[in-house]
Amino acid sequence: MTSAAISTTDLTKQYGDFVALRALNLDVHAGEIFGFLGPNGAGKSTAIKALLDQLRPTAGRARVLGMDAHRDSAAIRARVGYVPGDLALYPRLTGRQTLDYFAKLRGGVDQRYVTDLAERFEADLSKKVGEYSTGNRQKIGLIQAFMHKPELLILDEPNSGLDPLLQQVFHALLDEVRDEGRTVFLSSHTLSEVERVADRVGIIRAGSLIVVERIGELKRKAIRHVDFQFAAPVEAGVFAGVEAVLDVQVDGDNARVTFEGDVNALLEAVVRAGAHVVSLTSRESDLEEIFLTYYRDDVDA
Amino acid sequence: MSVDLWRKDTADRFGLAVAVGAILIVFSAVAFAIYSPVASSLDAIASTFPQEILSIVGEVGPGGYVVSELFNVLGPLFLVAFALIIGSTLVAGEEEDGTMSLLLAHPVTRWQVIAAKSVTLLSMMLIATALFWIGVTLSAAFQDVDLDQGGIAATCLHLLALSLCFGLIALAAGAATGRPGIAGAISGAIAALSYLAASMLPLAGLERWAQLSPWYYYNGSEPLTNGLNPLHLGVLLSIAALAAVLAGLTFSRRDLRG
Repeated sequence: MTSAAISTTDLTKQYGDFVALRALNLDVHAGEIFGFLGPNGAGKSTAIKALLDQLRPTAGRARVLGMDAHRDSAAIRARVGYVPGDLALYPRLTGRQTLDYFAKLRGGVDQRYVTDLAERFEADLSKKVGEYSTGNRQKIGLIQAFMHKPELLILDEPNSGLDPLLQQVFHALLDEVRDEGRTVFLSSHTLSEVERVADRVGIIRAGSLIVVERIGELKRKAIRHVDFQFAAPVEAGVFAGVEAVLDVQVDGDNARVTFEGDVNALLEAVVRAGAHVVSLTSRESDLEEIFLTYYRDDVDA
Repeated sequence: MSVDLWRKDTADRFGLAVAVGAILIVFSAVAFAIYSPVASSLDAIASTFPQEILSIVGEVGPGGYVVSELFNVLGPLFLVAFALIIGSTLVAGEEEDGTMSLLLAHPVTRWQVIAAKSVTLLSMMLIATALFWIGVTLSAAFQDVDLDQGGIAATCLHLLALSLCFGLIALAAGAATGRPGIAGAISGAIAALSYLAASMLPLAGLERWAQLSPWYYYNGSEPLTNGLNPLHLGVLLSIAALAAVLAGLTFSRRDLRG
């Protein structure tokens, strides 16, 4: 049995008539990397700030590492590392001074690990934070979140400003955290940022959690687009009767097929029709289209 | 550890406190230097001021007109303004800058933040007021103005309590709103109105109402002449403590901005 690193019950945050977070029921298991996906303004940061006791819920409650998110907040925060979505640091401190300060607030951390992290992120700690680029500031944000080896990492859009090489470093670190049995709660507005690392994904939109799914299942269900180029013009009827197909647009020898699920059925239909494929490109759906899949499921149900 | 929070905040503003103190030292030196040669004539002019003017610029006390101006107007104006600026930005400024979110992701409670910030304010005011005290003492000694050392020290202590009182009101307004601009406006208005109340209400025969103003407890007992007034000092420190408690209560109950 896995215990919950994060568990919310009907967690709701309302500002007047505006519902920022609507009865969120979410369980993040200890030892997993959980992707929290949603477009900007969907309520991701609101949920995270409620977990950290920075926002007080209108209704419902949250438990983090088995403790009450409000009453035991300081004890929780001692065991959590956090990168805020809108990271702000002290511009007049150097990177080193910033990390020293945060380390002291935690009662000290292993300096060798801080050095190790700084080397892996290639962070220059000698300059003042005010002179840093966004990417360099983000490195400091990440190092301070990882440096005390917290049981739970809550990372709100942590990839912003990191170049692809450093994203690899970041993903390797996340893997290490998982291997050590620690938990990561990773929010993002793009699927591609979390799909490589997350075990499960929760999708939130307009304050409501739409679905929690294993990442593989999510991708399997996702709507895809395939563009065929045929050697000769084809009839739209080629794809008729293929269950997974949602939409077909044929223009001479080009066909754009929108489908969900297994690509094999689609290819079999093409082979059956005896059409000669010159080229084939596939594009995965973006987050909006994944939402549509689940909305349609809701409507169907 | 909130000691580390205090240490960082104090280090950040140490230069500013020293600068304010240095300005007050220069004020004192210049005031005494200008005053000494023309002391008797200035005092003679000041003694002809109508009561309405005197209630604004302060009564002429020991040391004559210039010393009174230093203690009634310049010193308090500067130190209270400094306290208002520091107080309104200590909590709310960090929130407006967005760093409060990361600070409060660490294992410090909101009460600990308020406590550390309040002690930071106290440290700032101690530095600035101590330098003012040194400035006045040295200037008086150099210019041979006959002032009671105990009286100067007592007045500076009253001044420290007054500025701490307004600084913590500003800090509480910032802790309640998270907005340094609003905190500065609210506490600045309170400081200005209570100053006017303390100076104008007695003219209208409403001396008792003037006692509602913190300014009354700064020099109502004329500490330069009469020394420390523990009761008045106690009133100022009680207001300060009350403001700090209000800051903690409001700050720990609300959503963080941003």
